[in-house]
Amino acid sequence: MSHFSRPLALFLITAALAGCGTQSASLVSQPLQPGPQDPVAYVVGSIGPQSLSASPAPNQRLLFRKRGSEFGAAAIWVGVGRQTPQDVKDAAGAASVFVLALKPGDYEFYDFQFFSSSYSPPLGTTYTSVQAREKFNLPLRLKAGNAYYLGEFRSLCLGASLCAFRWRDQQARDEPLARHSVAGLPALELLPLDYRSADPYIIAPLPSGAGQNILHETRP
Amino acid sequence: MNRFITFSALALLTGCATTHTLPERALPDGKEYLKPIHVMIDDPLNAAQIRNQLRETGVFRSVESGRGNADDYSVWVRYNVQRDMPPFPVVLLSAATLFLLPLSVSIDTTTEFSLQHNGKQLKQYSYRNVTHKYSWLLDGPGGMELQSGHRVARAFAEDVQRDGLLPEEHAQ
Repeated sequence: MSHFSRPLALFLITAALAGCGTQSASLVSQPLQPGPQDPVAYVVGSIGPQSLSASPAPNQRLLFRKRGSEFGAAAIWVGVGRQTPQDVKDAAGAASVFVLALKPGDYEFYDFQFFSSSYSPPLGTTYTSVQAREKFNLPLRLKAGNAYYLGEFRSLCLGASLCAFRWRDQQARDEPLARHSVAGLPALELLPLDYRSADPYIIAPLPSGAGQNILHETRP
Repeated sequence: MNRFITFSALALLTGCATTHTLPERALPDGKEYLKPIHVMIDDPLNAAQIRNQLRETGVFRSVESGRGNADDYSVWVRYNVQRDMPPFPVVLLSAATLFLLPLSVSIDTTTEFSLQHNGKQLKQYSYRNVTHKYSWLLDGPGGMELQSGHRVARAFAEDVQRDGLLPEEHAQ
């Protein structure tokens, strides 16, 4: 220990802690982030594996984009290294609650991603990314000052390449967790999407009256 | 010396920029979605990518694969791409210099869209885009076809939106 200088030891400890720190479950590209005085719309939900032992992907994402734009946002669950906060821990799985703070407007929930890596001596490290071959389109019309609850998305996998999300309404559980991470979050409003077009990637009960996300306003 | 370095860096950066003959289209904001379209493409390898690029435009309520029902709107797509690479000795010479010698790469795509309804063709749209870039060690030719497809999809979406042949999908 006498060979270590104090600054070097502090640096190593800081680096080790930073490597083991957490990252946010919400990722919004810079052009979609509202400024301090700008109107905001929130999208809230939770994402994570149904079973940690049966999930081969330690990095899972739900992907959103501004309609017609190249910019997007993601809800993330990471289970190794710099984890996302494990807000929900149940019998076999875990989930992170995400709060996406976005500029109001028209968005689309269009894809997901399961990212994993594995090491085998002859081949080295193999990275695997599973996404929808044909993207779906679930429109979201977000009004300023509103907070929308999307739901809970828990992943189920059969092997490394067959994965899907099971959707459930867990607003009562997720709302306090979201409010804890974002002070002054407006009351959540359930956003009823018709997930039939995202079948078989998102498994959800049929909506009552099959009500699609209602688009009855005109955009600013 | 500094000027020489700056000039060289600028020459490298501008020389490596990808150029397109088809201009980028700006899609008008604030419009309703157009009716769903069923898209069939004669190139199975690129079919999913072309449909995804049409979805990315944010113009159509949904872009489905296959024929659809009789009263659905369908789009038949003919996609042709020709790649133009330098002569083989030049490629070898570039490889011998570890790709420090830039290679001129171009992709010439022609995409025809036939918009149909109830078995009748409503309109045919055709787009040609020649994409060119100088590829070298730090900037490969990957992504040229994606960029080209993105432009073609936006051009088609804007033209269909402007023509008004496809009705708007009014929310219930």
